[in-house]
Amino acid sequence: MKKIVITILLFSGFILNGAIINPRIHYVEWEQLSNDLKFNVALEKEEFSNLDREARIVFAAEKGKAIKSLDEISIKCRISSMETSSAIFEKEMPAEKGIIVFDFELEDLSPGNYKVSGEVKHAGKILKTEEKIFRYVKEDPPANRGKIPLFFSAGVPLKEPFPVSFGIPFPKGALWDEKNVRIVDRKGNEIPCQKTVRSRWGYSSKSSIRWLGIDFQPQELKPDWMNKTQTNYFVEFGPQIKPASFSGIKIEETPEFYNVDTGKAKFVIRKKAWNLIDSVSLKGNEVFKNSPDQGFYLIDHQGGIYRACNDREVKVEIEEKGPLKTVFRVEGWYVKDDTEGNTISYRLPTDKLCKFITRIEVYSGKPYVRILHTIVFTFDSYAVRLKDIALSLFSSAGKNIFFGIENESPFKTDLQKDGSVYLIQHLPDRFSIESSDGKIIREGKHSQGWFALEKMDNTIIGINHRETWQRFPKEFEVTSDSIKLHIWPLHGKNHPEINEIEPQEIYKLWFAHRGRELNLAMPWKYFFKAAEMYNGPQTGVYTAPGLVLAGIHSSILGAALTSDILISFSDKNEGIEKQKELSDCFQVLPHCLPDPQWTCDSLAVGYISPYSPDRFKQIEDCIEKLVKGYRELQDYTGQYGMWIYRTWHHTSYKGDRTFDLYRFFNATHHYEAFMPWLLYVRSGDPFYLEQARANTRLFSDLNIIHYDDASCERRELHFNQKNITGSTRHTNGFCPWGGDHALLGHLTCYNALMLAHYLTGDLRLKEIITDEWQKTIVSDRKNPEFQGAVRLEPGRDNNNALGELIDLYQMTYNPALLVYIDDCLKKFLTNMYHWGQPLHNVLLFYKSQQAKRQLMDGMADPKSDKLNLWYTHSSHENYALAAIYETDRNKQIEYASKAFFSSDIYAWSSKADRLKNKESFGAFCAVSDFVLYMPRVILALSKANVEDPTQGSYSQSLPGCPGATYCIVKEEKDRDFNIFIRGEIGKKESGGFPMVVMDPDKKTILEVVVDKPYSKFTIPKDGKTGEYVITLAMRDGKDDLYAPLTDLEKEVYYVNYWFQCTETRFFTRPTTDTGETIGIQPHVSSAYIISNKTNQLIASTEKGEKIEIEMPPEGVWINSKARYMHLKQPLILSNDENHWFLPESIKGLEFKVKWKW
Amino acid sequence: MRKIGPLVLLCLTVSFCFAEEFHISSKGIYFFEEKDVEWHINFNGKIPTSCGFYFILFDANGKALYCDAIPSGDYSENPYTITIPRDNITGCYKGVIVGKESVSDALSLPLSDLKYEVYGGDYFAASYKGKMYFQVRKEDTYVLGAYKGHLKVLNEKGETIADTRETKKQEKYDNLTEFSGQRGINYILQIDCRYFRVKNNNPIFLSNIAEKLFIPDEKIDSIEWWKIPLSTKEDR
Repeated sequence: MKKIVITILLFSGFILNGAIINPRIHYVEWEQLSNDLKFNVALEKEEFSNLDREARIVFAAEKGKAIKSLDEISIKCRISSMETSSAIFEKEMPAEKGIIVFDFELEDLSPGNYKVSGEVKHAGKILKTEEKIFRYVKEDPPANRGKIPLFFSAGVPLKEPFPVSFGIPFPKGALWDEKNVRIVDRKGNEIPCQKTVRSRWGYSSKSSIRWLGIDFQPQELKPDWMNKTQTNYFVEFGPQIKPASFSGIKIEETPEFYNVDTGKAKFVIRKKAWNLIDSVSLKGNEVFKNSPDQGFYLIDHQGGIYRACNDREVKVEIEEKGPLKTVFRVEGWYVKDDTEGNTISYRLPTDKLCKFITRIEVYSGKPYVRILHTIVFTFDSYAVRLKDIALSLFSSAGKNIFFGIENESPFKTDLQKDGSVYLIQHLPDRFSIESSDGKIIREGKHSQGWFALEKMDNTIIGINHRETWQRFPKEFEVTSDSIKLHIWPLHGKNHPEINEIEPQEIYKLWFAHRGRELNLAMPWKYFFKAAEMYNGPQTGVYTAPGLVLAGIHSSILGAALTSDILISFSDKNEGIEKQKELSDCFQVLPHCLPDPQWTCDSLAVGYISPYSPDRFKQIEDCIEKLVKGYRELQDYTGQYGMWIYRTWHHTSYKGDRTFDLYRFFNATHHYEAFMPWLLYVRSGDPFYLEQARANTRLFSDLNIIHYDDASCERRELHFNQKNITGSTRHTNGFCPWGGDHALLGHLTCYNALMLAHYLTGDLRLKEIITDEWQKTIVSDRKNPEFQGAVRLEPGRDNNNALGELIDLYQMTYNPALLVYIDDCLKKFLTNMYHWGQPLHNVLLFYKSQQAKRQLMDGMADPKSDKLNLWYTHSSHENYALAAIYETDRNKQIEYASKAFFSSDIYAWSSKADRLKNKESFGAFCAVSDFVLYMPRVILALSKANVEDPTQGSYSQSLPGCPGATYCIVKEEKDRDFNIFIRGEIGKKESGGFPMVVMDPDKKTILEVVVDKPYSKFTIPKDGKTGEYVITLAMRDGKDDLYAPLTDLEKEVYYVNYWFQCTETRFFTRPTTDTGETIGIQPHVSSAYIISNKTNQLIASTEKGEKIEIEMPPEGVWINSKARYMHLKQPLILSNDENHWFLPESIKGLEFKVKWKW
Repeated sequence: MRKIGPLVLLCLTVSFCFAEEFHISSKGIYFFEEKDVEWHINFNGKIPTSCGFYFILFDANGKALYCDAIPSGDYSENPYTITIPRDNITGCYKGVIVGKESVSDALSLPLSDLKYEVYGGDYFAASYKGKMYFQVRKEDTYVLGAYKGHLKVLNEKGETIADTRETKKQEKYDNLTEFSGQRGINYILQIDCRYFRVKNNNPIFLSNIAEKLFIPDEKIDSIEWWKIPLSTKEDR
């Protein structure tokens, strides 16, 4: 059959004469899964421009079961101009491997629309056809030269330059060659730097650069992110930039070794029997010589020792090479002593137990190396326990031992003869320095994360470990012949005084953080405690006890643990102070960012605005309080430890240091993992960097599956899944490494790892994306677990995956991804349920006209939402994107304002305050639903040039009073003032409501029917001052307006009952000097009356009981979630104290409805 | 006939060898001890979960007779046995398996060497295609739902008295049918679904052996077994 097809093709004369594109055609293997014939014509994107230079189209076929072999089918491809209908390319080809890739240059195309057609043919018959249309446009290139300031997030006092690795984005078409980039200091002196292209704007090496990684060694490290006027370093780029060449690291490779010369030190790294570092010389003197059995090792619960150096098949290679920094990647297994290393089992006995991937970073001019060591667990939690996970370096002739202690001088002690001395950080707030005979030498709170051995010849070896007490337990040990970092301590402590299943402790997973052995099997008592706490032994996936039971059924197999280590070597007489300085630097791990405005303008991170606290204070304050408040709550509740440090939670904080256990260990169910990186990149705030780094490490290590063992029959409790590499855990196991998982679905957030890689150059994160996740979805589709992990049901699962795939494609440009993108896009366009970044990515990167049209149509008529555009937690994202794309000025303003108000900013501000105060807090997953899109809302407001809609005051629901709402404003000086109608008019039906404005003489000066939201009425200067009464006949359930209503300083609302659309916080005070009694009753909801003087709670109700208080003269705040509020007496409310006044006009006002108390 | 004889014997042997084993997942396993004896619970089968499962056995007064984790293992040849000694007490006991559904799929039934043993509750998972027998505790209308499948109930005469295929009533994924249940009757249940439930929290008590049926003391179902102090010997 194959011969027939080829023969037909050979004689068909299929290449069109006069073709004006000449694509490079190549084939990609596409595993055949579909039962039916499936065919995709997939575009890289819908709109190309001259800045793209090249384009790609993919034709993909799955033959289905009816056709025996791909050899039997051919694919006819045709590309034609829509303007002239003439073909610019036509060819028929055998399907071969399943995917045919067309890569072609765009320069010969005329701007216009082009149709791409594909036909699948079998035995001469056309079985399937598909068409796509793409546009080619000309656009002006961005500036191809520039000078971008760099800002450091955190500062460190430096005596010597410290290596910094960062990423800088460039707009499409701005930078084509990384050679045309350099770093200069503020005097214009060039600073040596090393550049690595991390992503381009297209698949080709001719495409312009999207993310450039830069390594350099700044001399000054001042935290200048807040004060952006005085920066020390700049990135310069442009065709005229020709950086000077410089020499740096020299590497000599032999069959046995890598000999590395940094200029300051010579390191020898073995290629076989890898023992981490074999030797180190400083100034020609060997200061360290390792023994062959050293390096990383672990000990199982039966005492078996497994060493990295035993692996005969270890791979040691250079992963990234440059003059300033070179990265060695080492991959292998821990192999048991005295075995052949042939067997791998998830239980004992086994020759190999756990994989490792270790990166050794060496730096020009530096006598230290950074080690990023990842251990991948290959055993089942119930089959193997570990007594020790350690890094050991040989060291004899030790003299003094130094342990770094936070906020103190290093603690110096002697080496014990034939014994050891160790510091064990056994609790997050407790360490102990002990000798091997059990004697406690010293106790304290926080290790500084380093220790050092001074030898008889006065040279020093130091080992630094980042975030040591935060990732307890850890141990630093010095023996007579070695210096060891125990990633799991050898001398662990039990702490029986801690009741691990108390509600205040159960979520800290003490079973994995204490004891002599690392035992990752969750005890059964956790389930029974959860059943007790939740009053029932539910086992379902939507119950807290059920998820705890899933934790018991979880396994560490496939999870990983990465340690960030720096090993330093000091020459004679350099002293321990230098080690301390180095450790300070390493703990901070300095990082810098380009000017956030540059980053945002580049669009590499999408449509976002820089941190703008001056212009959008309320939004920025709210974001900060929420994200920082969350972290402070974690600190407050003591959520530390090597298995839980900086995870995200899904559900609520219940107060008193207790949490809802349901979905407690959320990986990134609502795209949370991306959030701190997004906030960091637009601000430079070191808080977000620290949060992002720690969360990403936990996420990438524990929430993503790195290994599978087909012989292990274990399956997750819910959904019955087995491991598949690259898949992300959901929320459904009461530990970070448990629960169901997906490769594609609503619960993934690989984009966080991608952005983290672009910004920091972390190669482990890239490896997870490309060698684990992408590899599985592209070439392990026949894995029995694949279908269960690919959740591409229409709606949030499909749509989040679409956003992720578009980001992945821009990182790897793997053509097979376009097939997924095409399938997902088709579903997305018929069901736009928002989750993650799909709409944004489809608009900005894929440039779908249909998606844009559907968005804009959705703006015009949100009520007839046939496409689920408004079925979202984040309607502000829709409005913000519409405002960004809208060209009509008035509509742009309307959408930007709606983006602001639909975000529910007031309610979030109030919640943020509660979180900061450690009060109970609702679902944490909703935080990211709000926060993720606020930088886009700010961008929309900025683009629309909308004044801050809050006008410096909290904006909140205007209290609506049945019959008529009286808003009384006071004009101190004669002036124009504006009435802003913001919110929704006629929520459920069309039509408006009457509004009447009376001047200080009680003369009606405006009488209108308000039927348009986001409209403005100007009351002109009229020679009068005093009170104006605005009467609004708002309809309950139909009209939701926001206060303040005007731009006058004094504005109050006179009500005898009120309805509202969001949670509010109004100020009121007595109308007499002596105070007065007031009574309120929220309708079946909570309300709080808070003193204006002390900010203390005066009275409250949770379920809507009546509250009566004697109102103090200084006034009170009434906070209420209630939809309706009954009042004992009329109240004069205002947004805050400054707006409040006692209006005289109320004497003449009557309420249309009288209420009984 | 001489030729048919061995064939019949072969058929019988084959059918015996391939007779479907009865497994069911239920909210409780009920045992009835008529006379005070030493009796046993044998967990027989290969436990597919690495954490094993948790087993709690208690009487109608809430006294725990067993309360511990049963470790993972292959107990197909040598069952994991719990011995309940003579204790001058007789009556009803309830056992609860906490763990993955696949554990119940793996365990051979009956578990005990007592005469009476039933599997009760209002929610069951079973892949058994043979006949099951059940009794109800009180007279009531029993609404049964078959998840994405069907079931039917027959009376002691073998007459169908409820059939989801006939009723054609649905509630989300459940096909429903109902019958008027009376105490003391051995109803027959045939399922063509993986999960089935009884609406309104009305329990039924079933077995694949009619002679094993009994109605457990209602008091035993009010015991909050998850609050029974654990005797787990987890050495950490």
